[in-house]
Amino acid sequence: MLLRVALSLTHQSADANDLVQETMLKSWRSFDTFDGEYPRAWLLTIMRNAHRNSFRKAVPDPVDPVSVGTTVSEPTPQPSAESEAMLSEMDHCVVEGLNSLKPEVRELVILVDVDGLSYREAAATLGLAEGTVMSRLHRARAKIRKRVVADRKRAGSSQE
Amino acid sequence: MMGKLPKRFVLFGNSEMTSCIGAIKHLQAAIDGELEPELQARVVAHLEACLACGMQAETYREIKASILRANTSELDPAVVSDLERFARQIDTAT
Repeated sequence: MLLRVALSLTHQSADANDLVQETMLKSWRSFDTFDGEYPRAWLLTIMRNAHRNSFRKAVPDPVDPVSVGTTVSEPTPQPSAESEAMLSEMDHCVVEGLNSLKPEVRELVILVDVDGLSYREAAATLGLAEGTVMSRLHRARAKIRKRVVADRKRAGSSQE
Repeated sequence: MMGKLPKRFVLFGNSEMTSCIGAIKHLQAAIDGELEPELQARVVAHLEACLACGMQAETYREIKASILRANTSELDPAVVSDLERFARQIDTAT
């Protein structure tokens, strides 16, 4: 799971490998800070912090991201050419919808739908209230569904 | 007054199934398996009985499956075994 999330954060196998190693080391060293409640959320928080720090070091940000209320912009994940061929028309529509979301909302959707985190784990990982996780997920999926339904209407399908 | 009516006539759903409003409110949590079993069963019963809500739920399920498909890549076995070796090193070094 760590490697999958690392890949979605870095988009590069070598970087993802480094990030997972760093996460394992850091979690081992700070194991006494773990409260025993949500191990996956705890590990992912360490990973996200490590990733953010490496990003800061690599790219000096001209604008303080905190003051403008945004996180460092990350490249939009694109499916690889290989996986692209296997995706259906609906998958493309969903990927477009996913990419149209704000990075932090997209991250939440991926944590729940791809990495299989519970709402509580996702909330603990992202430092959000569980209610916020639910409402953001709902809004994000409704946006994607709108696209899918519009796409189906264009294609002349009677189904939803 | 509502309490005197038989349960199945309660406007906001009944003991067997939720109303449309209830089903849509809990739809995402139902799809994610986040509901208590009793509520989950009532939402599912509604989705099976109500065409409009059922179709909406089906689209959401397809979207969830699609997100998983589009974001799951095969992990490089070499990288995985590298990481496993690294984890054992940490374990033995301490």
